[in-house]
Amino acid sequence: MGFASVLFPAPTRSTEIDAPPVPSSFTDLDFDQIVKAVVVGHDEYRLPPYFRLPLESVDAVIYRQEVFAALDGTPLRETMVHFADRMRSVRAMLTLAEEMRHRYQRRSWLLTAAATYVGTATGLLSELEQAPVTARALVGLRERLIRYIGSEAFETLRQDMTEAQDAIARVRYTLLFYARVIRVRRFEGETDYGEEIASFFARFQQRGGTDHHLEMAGRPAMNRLEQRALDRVVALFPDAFGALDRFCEAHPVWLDELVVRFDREIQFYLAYLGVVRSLRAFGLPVCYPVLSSSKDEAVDSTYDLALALRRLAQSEEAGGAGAVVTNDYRLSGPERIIVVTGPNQGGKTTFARAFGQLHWLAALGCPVPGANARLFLADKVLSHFGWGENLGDMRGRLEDDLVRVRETLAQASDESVVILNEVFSSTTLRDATVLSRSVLAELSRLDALGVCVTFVDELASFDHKTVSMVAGVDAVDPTVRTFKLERRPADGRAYAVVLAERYGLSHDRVKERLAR
Amino acid sequence: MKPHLLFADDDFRPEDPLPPGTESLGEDLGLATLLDAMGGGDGNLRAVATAVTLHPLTDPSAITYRQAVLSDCLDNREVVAQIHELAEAAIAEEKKVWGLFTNVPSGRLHRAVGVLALFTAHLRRLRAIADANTGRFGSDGFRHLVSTLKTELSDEYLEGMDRHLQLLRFRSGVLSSAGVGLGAKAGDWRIHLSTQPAINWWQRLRLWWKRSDALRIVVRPGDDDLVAELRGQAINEAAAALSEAMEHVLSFFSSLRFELGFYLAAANLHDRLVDLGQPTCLPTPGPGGAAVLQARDLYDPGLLLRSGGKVVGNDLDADGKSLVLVTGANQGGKSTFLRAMGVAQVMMRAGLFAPARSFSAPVARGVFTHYEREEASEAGLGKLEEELARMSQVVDWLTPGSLVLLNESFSSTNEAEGAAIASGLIEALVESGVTVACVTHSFELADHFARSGRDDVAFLRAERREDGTRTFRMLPGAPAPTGHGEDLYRLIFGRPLADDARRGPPG
Repeated sequence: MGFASVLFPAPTRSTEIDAPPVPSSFTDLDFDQIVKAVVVGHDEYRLPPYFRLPLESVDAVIYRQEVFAALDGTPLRETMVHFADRMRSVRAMLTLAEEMRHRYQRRSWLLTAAATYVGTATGLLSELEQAPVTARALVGLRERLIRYIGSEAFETLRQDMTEAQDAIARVRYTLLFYARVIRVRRFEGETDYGEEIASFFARFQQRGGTDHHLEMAGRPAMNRLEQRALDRVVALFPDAFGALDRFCEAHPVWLDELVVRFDREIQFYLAYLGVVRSLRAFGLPVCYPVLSSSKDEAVDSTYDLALALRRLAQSEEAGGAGAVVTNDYRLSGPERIIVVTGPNQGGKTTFARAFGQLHWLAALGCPVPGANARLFLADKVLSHFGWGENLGDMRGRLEDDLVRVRETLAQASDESVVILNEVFSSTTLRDATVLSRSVLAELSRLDALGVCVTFVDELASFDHKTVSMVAGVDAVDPTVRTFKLERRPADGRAYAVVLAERYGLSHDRVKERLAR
Repeated sequence: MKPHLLFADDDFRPEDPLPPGTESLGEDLGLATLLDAMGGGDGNLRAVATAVTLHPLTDPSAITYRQAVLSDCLDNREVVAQIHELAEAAIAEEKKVWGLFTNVPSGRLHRAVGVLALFTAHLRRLRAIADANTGRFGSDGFRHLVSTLKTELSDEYLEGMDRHLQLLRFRSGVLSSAGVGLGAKAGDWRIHLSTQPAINWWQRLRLWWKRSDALRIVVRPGDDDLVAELRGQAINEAAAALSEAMEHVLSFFSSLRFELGFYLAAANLHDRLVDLGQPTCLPTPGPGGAAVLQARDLYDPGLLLRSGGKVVGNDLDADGKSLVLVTGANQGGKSTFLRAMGVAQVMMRAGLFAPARSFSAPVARGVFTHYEREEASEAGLGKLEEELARMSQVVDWLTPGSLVLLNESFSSTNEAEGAAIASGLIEALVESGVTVACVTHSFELADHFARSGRDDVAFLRAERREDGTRTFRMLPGAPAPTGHGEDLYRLIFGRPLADDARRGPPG
């Protein structure tokens, strides 16, 4: 079985993806917002379903990571963008051709569409042959394209097309408008008066200037006068239009199925890389996670992608990444659950989301927010977000909380990631402590990975599987949140000087900065 | 054909990004007052003055080029104003030419022909002014302009313009060629001069015979709109070329108006300062680095304009100094002096005169300010952090050869910490080739430099007489340990400070 898809290694389960259900954790983790931001401008490719299909093997993840790496910041990405643009034109031209009434209008569009397609396919292959391609998916694609473009059918298509194009390109005619008669004849080398005017007045030119050509080709279809004129032109140049007829009759169909599918699938990568690129321009790190079946995890400088994308959309210029705080964490040995405590609005929930997003993105084969990431390949990312501290109908909410926690736990396996956020916060501390402890015990028994955000400090030291992280506050002014999660609190130092150092304004730093 | 009054060989680009920090610079130096005076009530002129002043020169020879043009302008005000008015009139008239149907090529062509016919008259007058004032100007800029006008707007050229405008009325029909474009529509249109003269029926018949190779389309009744549309495509090339020509001539008038406008604005400011009895001079721009730094009777023109009265001029002798440190009494004129230094540098870099009897300084690569701000701007940042963030931003922008004006920087923390931050920073700046002018009431900071033994520091002190009155003069002198805030307190409260207050803040 040969190459079939750049998203799934062969042999694989059905590459036909219909509509996988939307996981319930999508909204909790703001993953729906991420997908929306990623696919914006890529609507025609129906990408969202791909984001709901986590991969099941490390190999499948690497298959995608290879493609991402091959396109990430390389000229190959431009190649793919260009390919997609041209395929879009091909589709638009075919649609237009169908709408045309005049025989030579229709055939002329078919010829242009075919020429664009041929150029697009061969262009893609030649770029793939020049680029140092090692990604298995792209190697497979390249081999497949070599066979396709080397085929006799493709060669004939190209020859007939070129012949017709050349013949049509040689046609040039003059129109003389005088009184109520238009005379059409072959062009005889008359001099260009427009050019003469331009050079006569050129001495006044200052800088820049605008293009004064009015856009004339508004409608692709011809009116009856244009059609009459075209009839005259066809009569004046029978050979050229004969070549066009021969082409269209010999080649009624020419789109290749695999090229069409590739056109859709590669958008998964391009769309996501678009986001990666803006994140980096914004000063935020993005990295390729190392995935394994070990639950030892190490992540540096990760952040809530949905939040970062919102900030990015708000910020008018790049470099405003200061607004997005990044966090590190480690899980090693028996450690499984990060218990997050700390002040309100201190970045706890944001961290929990980031944790869930990381595992979900990694399982899609995508690069993740962060500078380094070693991650476990999870089978599912489950979540339960509580009601927050809105005390209203306490009883109803507690009941709902319990029901949903039970459902969440029922779906979890030892390979799942579970995010619990502010669960039981609508009840008393005493109740919440007892209930939370039993849920943690459950998770601990499962040996699942997870984050538990809670206001119950006691949970932070639940057992050997829990790790305590605290949302930080400023060493000097405890009312200022740092949004940094720390395994232990920071110690204070001379405030102003530390601050100056932090802003790169110490003597040595300033000299370094000016010596650049 | 360019005015070249702002640069000898280059265009002025108002759309170029302003140097970073321009906004704070303008605010801290009070440049708005200056620019208002340059505009003299004319919003257009103010905009020109702003654009040019805020896009500084860094090359001394570019500065002297403008200074010469400026002198010419001050000496020949009427001629300069006359050309400026003419350019303005041409631009105004273009706006008055209404174009019907300029969304189609024929309407656009028609309007362009009309406007260019108007412009021809203005160009003839411009040429006449150039002829009448040959030899009047001394600067390279104006001499180049006059000779350009004379050669580029020759009689022959102006006649050629008339001829083209005549031909473009297409009295003898339109002849165009096209190829087969997308979807077989006509594309790649070119316009050609019709060989078909406006002729009688007999000649026309003969031509038809001659052109037996042509296939004819006789326009059907009701198809006139379609013909107009097709003919529009045919003349689109000509309409575009002529509209572009019109824009070129218009842009020439705009450049002329813009560049002359800057010098007329400068003349406005010059008049105001002279009327208020203050001296001006053409500054001597030096090469970068620590070199000659001298001023006589340097004053802040903004303060002069705002107060409308007398200001105190100050002298500065700081040859070879990299740090000018101003200390002394509060309300003693320190900030005004710092501003005067900054404004003089800004004006010099614009090619303007300086607000002084004489002024010599190296041309700074960049001018930046870091002033104490009243309010913490960024939400959530403390005042010190806000100051640090702004300073860090300035350091990002700085290059060796720049000038930085520090006004009571880091005074939002206690004096010891503020001085610790500022002294390290200033030393690093100076050691990196940045010139620093610093106003501070912090004795800690000033004393640090006084005892450092450095020979590249100029110390100035705001004068305060024995009786506590201020003269607003900056005199050379090392810092003295007491500030004079208590003088002010006494002046305003009518009694001395309480004993407790002198011990300073608790802790």
